[in-house]
Formats: sequence, structure tokens, C-alpha cells
Amino acid sequence: MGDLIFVAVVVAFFALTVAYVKACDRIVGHDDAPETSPGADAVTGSDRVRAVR
Amino acid sequence: MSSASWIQFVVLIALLVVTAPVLGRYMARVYGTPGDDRPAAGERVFRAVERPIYRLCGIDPASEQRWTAYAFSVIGFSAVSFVVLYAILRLQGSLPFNPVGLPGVGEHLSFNTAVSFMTNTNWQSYGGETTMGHLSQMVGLSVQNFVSAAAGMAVMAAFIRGLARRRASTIGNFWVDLTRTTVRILLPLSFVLALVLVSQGVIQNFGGHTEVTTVEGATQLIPGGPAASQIAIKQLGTNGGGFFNVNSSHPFENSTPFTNVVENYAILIVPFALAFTYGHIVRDRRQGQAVFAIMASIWLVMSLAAMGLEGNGNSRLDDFGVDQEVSAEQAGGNMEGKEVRFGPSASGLWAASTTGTSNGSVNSMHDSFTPLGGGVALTHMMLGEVSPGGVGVGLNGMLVMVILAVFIAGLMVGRTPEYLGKKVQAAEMKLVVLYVLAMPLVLLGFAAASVVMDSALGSRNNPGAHGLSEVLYAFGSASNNNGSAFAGLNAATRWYDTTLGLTMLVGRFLLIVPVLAIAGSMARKQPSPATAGTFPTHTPLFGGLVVGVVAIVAGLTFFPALALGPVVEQLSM
Repeated sequence: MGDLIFVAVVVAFFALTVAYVKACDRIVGHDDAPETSPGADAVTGSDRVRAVR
Repeated sequence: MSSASWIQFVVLIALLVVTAPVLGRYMARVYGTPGDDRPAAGERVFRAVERPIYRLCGIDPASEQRWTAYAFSVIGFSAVSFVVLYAILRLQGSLPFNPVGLPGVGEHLSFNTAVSFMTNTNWQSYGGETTMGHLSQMVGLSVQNFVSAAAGMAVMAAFIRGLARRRASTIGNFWVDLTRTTVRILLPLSFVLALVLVSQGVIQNFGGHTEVTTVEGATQLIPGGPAASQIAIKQLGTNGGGFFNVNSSHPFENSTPFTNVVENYAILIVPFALAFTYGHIVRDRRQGQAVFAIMASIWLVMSLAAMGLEGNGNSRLDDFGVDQEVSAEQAGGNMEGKEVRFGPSASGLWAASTTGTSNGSVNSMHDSFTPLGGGVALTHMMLGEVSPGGVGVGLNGMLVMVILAVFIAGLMVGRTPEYLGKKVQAAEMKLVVLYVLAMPLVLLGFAAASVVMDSALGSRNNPGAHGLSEVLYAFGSASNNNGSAFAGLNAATRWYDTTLGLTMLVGRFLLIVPVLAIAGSMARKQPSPATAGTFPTHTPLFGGLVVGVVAIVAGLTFFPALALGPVVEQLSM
């Protein structure tokens, strides 16, 4: 029973965190920027993998 | 302070100053430096290791995530990590590599420990050698040491990209950042450090307890286990969870003054180096150098304060004629709760390093520090652990403080605040406020509850001001994901296991989410060219402003509590 309670507590916390993400996204507002064009402005680790391919 | 203490301090600083820029440049290439397509060292080898991981996990390394998707990935990964670790701890009694036959860990202790290691806190309400089997240590705790540290560094990489990119909607790929951090940074560094530690006497075996007869004729059980491999990542990943109950004061974890300096260096090197990584990725090295200087100046002041306060000894002991002077026979100073092989100043230096980095390992008993010496450790955590902070999260906290300082400077001169050419507007400031408020709310809230509840008050080893310091330290440690213990509080109770666990969760995720949101918001902006009216953010003046903001935010929040704890205790001596 204790196991269920503690796992439920953590699941509930993460559910609240998901809601917190959505609340913060409302603060950030709508995203009307274009998709990232890494070649022009930024190269990330994943970008380099793409380049290597 | 003894000359040996000064030599160790100078050697540590020299090592950091020389190697942090080099490691910082390497890590910038790992995360991707704009305009620099040269591969990082070992690219071919590491790519061969990473490719099967991506295939096995179904990760497209070329894909990018918006900040919300990045945050959901962090949350999902952490949730799964918690469940797996919780199950390992509860089922320990039935699992292999348990030579002493330790039983499964209790429910609330498993909850506390799983949350603690998943959040990179490593608060321990247990003694490692009497509670954890080898499998729990290796597959459970050590794995979390790596991936929780890597998750923090991944969030930092995303944050920096958000500041560096122009009109972008994505900030990287969490799974790629997590994999790269683990494979290319933490694993190689830990491997080298573990070998160094083993060469100095830190143990690495699969043995159980060895029964020996001491020179006095008594029987003693000497614990064994794979310690060195865990100690290496515990320090490099600013985790701090000890293999043994007394953590880095145990000779099997930290065997000599040499390993003490090496481990202290390991605690600090990655967080300090990340400041240089930041400068490389935003293509303005002066910004990274400025952040490094701000972090280093706070750490330096705190270190000198802790070393001096412990090295000068306890004034109450003078009344009893105790010799606390440095001599050929003794290190002098306040030796209560400290290892003879380290001495009080090296213990003070370690305390300042570990509380400034969210590391949490201890080589002495902080509860036995002088009131102000313990107050330095407590205050260092309450500053938000930005000097230099935990791996990744420390730089995040510092950059949030930098944005706050930019905003305040903008108000003072009547200009729209800008950082790296991007306007800091209402959305970013709301998120900064959410970041700044989360830690104090949970710290002071649960600490207040703990000093009015009879059941919680019984956990203190001391009444009065020192007892309040013990409670504040526990929640300060948990809320900042530090994990070090004052060692004067019995936290192995249902109340403390549960509330400290919740505090750690808030201290981790309610800070990560606003950071990623700021990254997402800043990534979309188009920077403006610098003009004569642009406030420079790489100068000593701005550095001083940031230090002032850090001190004022912490001071306004925590001074009343600190005044009732360590300050009152010092004044009553």
C-alpha cells in the first residue's frame, strides 16, 4: 500500500509539472518564429550528426 | 591556517584556472559551437558508441525539439528513472550482487532515495554500507549519478542554445544531449578519475564484509564494494552521494590529502568549465569569462571564510585551555568532527566547494563547524548554488541571475533591458520570478512546519539556534538539490523522508521548467546590433552588479532565518 502511495505521489507531482510546462508556455506566448535553420545561426550536436550523415 | 592548507588551496586554484578553459572548449564542441564545424576529440569513437544507442531507443539524432517537447522529455525520463530506482531498492533483497544479504529498502526511504538520486541531489537518509547492496549501488545509484547529471547539463545546453539562436523555434534534442553528455563527457572523465583514486587506495571490489581483529583485540567488520567507480562520478557529476555512511571522510572514499585535493578539483572542474562552454556557444568568449569570474569570486570569498573560521578554532575551547595553534604535531583550529589527515582548513575549503556546487559530499561533519563556519555552508547553498553550481544547473541559475541583473540595470538607466542583443521582456521576467521564488518557498515552508511540529522537532540533536540551523540546512540542501547533511538531524523518519523528497522534486523541476521556457522564448528573438547605449555584460561593473543581485535576493529571502540560526548561535558564544 505504501508503495502505491509513494508512486502515486510522484506521478501526481509529474502531472502537475506537465501542467506547469503548459502554464509557462502560455507566458511565453504563441510561437510564430520559423523553424530553426542551424546552418545559418547555430550548430548543435544533433545538427552535426545531420551534417555527418 | 597551516602552510599546507595554503599550498593545497593555491594548487587547486591553479589547476582550475589552467584546465577549465580547455575542458570548456571541448564541451562546447560536444554541444555544438556555431561557426566551428571541427569535430570534438574522439568524434569517430564516440559516434560508434552513440549510434547503437540511438537505434535501440528509436532516437532520430537529427531531429530538434521545441522547448515544451524538451521539457516533457526531461520529465518523462526522470519519471521512468524514479520508478526503476524505486523498484531496485524495494526488491534489493531478491536481487544478485548482495553479498551481505541486505534486505529490501523500506518504503519511505526508497521514495526519498529514488527522488534524491533522480534529482541529482543525493541526500542520504541511510548508511551506504549497512543499507545498499552492490547492485543497488552500481545499477541503481551510480547510473542515476550519470544520467541525472547529464540531464542537468542537457538542460543547460538547451538554455545556452536558446540564448544563442536567432528566430528559432527549437532548442536541441534532449535525448541527443543526454547521450552525448554521458558518453563524451562524464564517462571518460569518470574512468580516468576512478583509476587515479584506485591508485591512491580507494577500494574497487565486489567483496562483502571482511572480519578482522584490531590491535586492541576487538573484532571489526571492514566493508568492501565498488567504491572508486561511484566516487568518480559522484564528484564529477556534482552528485555527492557517498558509498559509505560518512561519505568522503571515509578512508576508502578519500584516502589521502592528495585524493582530497583531486576530489575537490573534480567537484569544481565541470561547473567552472561550463562557463567557458557558454562563451564559446554564444560566440562571445568575454561573456563566458565574465560568468566564470562572477562564479569564482563568490566561491573564493566563501572558501576563504570557511577556511579561516575553521582554521582559527573555537573560541569556547580557549576557555578550557585547549591548544588550537598550528604546530608540527597538529593542524590546529577547530578539529571537532574533522579528519586528522585533512585538517580544519581543507575541511572548510571542501565545505565551501560542495555547498557551492550542489555536490553534497562531505569530508567532515558540518554540524561540528563553528556557528559562522556552518553558516557559510548554509548561506552558500541559499545563494542558489551558482558559485559555480551543480553541473549544468549552476550555470542555469547564474544566467537567470544575469538576466535579472540586466533587467535591474535596464530599469536604472531607463533603457529596455537587453542580453546578448535580445530584449528581455515581460515574459522572461515572469519566468525569472517563478524560478527565483520556487526554492525559497519550499525551503522556508517545510522548515517552518518542521520547527512547530512535535514529531519533527524530535529529530534534532540540539535545541535552540543550532537546532534551527540543522532543520534549515536539511531543507536548504534538499531544495537546492545539494544533498550534503549537517549531520545533526535524524532525517530517517517518515516526515523528513517525505517532505525532503517533495522538496527535492520542487527544487529540481520547478526550476528546470522556467529555464527551458526562457530558452524557448529567447530563441525566437532576433538580436539587435550593439550601440553606444548598449549596457555591456562582460565588464567588472556588470559582474559586481550580478554578485550584488545574487546577494540581495538571498539576503532578503533568508536573512531572518539565518539571523535566528547561525548568527544568534555565534553571538551567544
